[in-house]
Amino acid sequence: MNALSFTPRAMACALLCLGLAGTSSAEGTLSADAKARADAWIGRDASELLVQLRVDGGRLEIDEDDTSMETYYTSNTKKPGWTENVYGSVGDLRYIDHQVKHPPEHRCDITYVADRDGIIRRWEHDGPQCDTDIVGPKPRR
Amino acid sequence: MQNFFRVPMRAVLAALLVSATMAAPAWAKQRPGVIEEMQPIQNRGEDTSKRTRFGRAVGQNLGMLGGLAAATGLSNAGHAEAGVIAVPVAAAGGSKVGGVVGEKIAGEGPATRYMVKVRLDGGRVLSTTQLRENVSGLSVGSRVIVDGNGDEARITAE
Repeated sequence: MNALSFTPRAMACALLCLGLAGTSSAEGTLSADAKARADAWIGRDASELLVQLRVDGGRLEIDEDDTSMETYYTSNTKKPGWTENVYGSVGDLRYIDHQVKHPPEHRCDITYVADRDGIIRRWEHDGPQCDTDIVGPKPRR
Repeated sequence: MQNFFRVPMRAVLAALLVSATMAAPAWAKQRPGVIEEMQPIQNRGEDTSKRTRFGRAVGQNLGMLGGLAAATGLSNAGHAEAGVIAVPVAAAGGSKVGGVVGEKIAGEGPATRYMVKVRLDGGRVLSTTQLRENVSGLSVGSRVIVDGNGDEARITAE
């Protein structure tokens, strides 16, 4: 099981490394504001990501690259699939007539790359809703 | 003739055993380290504590009973057809409302996950999330073993 789940992750990690090697080309599509929010994580400890971003329901994936000793923290803001109830009525009473299933929606994946010491050094994003979904860190106290 | 076949078979088995033993650490990666930081995660999203789940379950059952009682009342009041339609709707509605009320009464309970930052003996610093029950008894400074990697890593006392 582990062996099966490891392989696609390792491939994804390798692809990510290749993508990051040339600095994020997709960055240009982001608004200056969203880019500033993502940039604000640079220099911070990756542990802050885990405390501040949502980590439930597989929203945060962590991958390690044993060659570069970097760790990739990928936060996704996918909207899960949902079922819509369409109601009918008999007189004043409403009942569920049928259901419409809506598929999950990919919104934004943002990957923060932490160095050997766990400090975030760069980021990469992918998805149509990153302008709105990228969250900056809370100000330090 | 028989011996001729036995020897290579043993050699093959031995080779397989040796390679399996050597390959094992690559999959079941166990790395020692020290906890540098540990914090409950308050931004819990859909994570729910046992207390909240219990409150929700009790509320759902009570709500469903309330809904059924209301629908039965409608039926007994002379609206037989309306009662038949209303029963499943009222039960489902009552269960939903009861669940929300039950959750409110039970409260959030303790955090379900912790952020655990470990400095591995190999030098790398790994921050990961762990379920509350997995980190009981651990604290900053504890020697631990990180079993697996990335978000599948489990942390246990050394």
